[in-house]
Amino acid sequence: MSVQPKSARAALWFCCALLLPAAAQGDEVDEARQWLDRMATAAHTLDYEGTFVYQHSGQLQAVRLLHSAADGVERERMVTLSGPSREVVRDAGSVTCIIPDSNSMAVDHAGPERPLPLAIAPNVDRIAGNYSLSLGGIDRVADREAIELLVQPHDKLRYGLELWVDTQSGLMLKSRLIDPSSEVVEQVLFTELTVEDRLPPERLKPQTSGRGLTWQTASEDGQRPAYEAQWEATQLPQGFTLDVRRRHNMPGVGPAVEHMVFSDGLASVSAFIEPHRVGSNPFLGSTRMGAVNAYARIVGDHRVTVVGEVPVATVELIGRGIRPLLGNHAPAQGEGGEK
Amino acid sequence: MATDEERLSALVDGELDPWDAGRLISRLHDAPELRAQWGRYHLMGDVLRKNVTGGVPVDLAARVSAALEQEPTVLAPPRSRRAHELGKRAIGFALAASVSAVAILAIQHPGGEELPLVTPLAEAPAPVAPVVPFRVGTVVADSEESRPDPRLGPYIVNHNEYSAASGMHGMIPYARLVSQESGR
Repeated sequence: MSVQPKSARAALWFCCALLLPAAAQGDEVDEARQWLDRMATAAHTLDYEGTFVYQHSGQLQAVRLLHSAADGVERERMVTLSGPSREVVRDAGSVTCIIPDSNSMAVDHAGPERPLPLAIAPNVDRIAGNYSLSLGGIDRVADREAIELLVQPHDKLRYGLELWVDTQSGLMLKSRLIDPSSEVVEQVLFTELTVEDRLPPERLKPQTSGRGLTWQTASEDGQRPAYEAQWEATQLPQGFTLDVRRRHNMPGVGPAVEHMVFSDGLASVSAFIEPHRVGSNPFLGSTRMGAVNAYARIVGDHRVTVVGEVPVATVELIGRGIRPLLGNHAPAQGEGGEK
Repeated sequence: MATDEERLSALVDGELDPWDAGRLISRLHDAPELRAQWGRYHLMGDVLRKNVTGGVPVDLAARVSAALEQEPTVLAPPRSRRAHELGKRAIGFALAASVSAVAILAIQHPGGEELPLVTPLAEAPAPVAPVVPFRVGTVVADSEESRPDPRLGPYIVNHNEYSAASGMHGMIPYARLVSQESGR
């Protein structure tokens, strides 16, 4: 019978047809991963200077950015180009925000548990595990050739990301955060960018200080005592894990705030748990602020506040699942705050 | 036939019939002398009723006109997508105000003592977004009257420090901070 070999051959062809695009897709994912890796490395290891436009909640702001990695030490300076000159200067140990409208300056020091994010390399494996990576076409941004990367979530609990990466330097030239209804939540677009061999260090010093601002420095927090974790998250979207757990003082909030950070490699969500003072009037419920959403509720005699650059459903899901760890005194009964 | 002065006097006293009052008011629009007279009649009435304390106001009508010219035109957009966009913008502005206030908190109390949040916010020179009465378990930010809550400022700033997006390209969380509109 000649039918059987024929159908076997057809089946073989069919299999090949299935496998070929799969292999091609695998290549594309690998290439997208390489670009993500390269982008993260370039952002932290090169000296560069440029201007970007940041668009968010109907606002538009042009910002000058200078970044230096001289002798392996990162320094970065960002200054707004319109309105009152606001400035952020970051180095390995501190973040300094100069905000003239408040006629003051804020300095934030890195905690001992973890350096400031400037030094954190993203975990591309984790991103690849939780999102679909693909390549778009070649485009032109800031008069440079850029390749488009698409980072698409598998569910509606996180935002998607579109990135345009400079094919020459690997630096990000444009990024768009996309919500589950396909709207752009936040956009960064470089209008001009140059890569330098070495930026002169004096160019990374804040300039806004010469305009009658008070210059104050926050005292170092020092070592924080070890503590026993008292809370846990019982509802995390797939792929989210606990990245950081610390207890710290928060100016204006309180001295004993338990802070947990969850991340899927790209998006991150913070949960803050603090004693709820009777008679205080805290924020409760949900709110959206551009890309950042927040949700807060009362659990027993504590208050849980969840904040992150994820859709509001995600902060609510995580917030509702924060529970006292078994064996701890915090009561699980009498939960308020939800109706 | 009553003179303009008589009609004006009747208008000030609330005794002119509505039809005459309507005609007179539309004439007032184009007759500065008549407006000045109208102002004087009001002033006289106030003096007689001992309502005037301190200096005597001069040229009431002219000052009201000037004040009206200074007023911004109020445009009332229909409750549409545009209104929604404006609402979103208001959120951004108000968040800006909250971030400014937070920045001050961070310096004024570097020791991180426990502080009632309301007091330092009130001291902040930057305008502070009005506090929205909370609604539990509902998304409030998409409604027009909602504002981001200044009480969330410290949480957002602390979250930024640990945001995973920072690893990809560290600037974005700080671009958020630096790009906030100042005040309203």
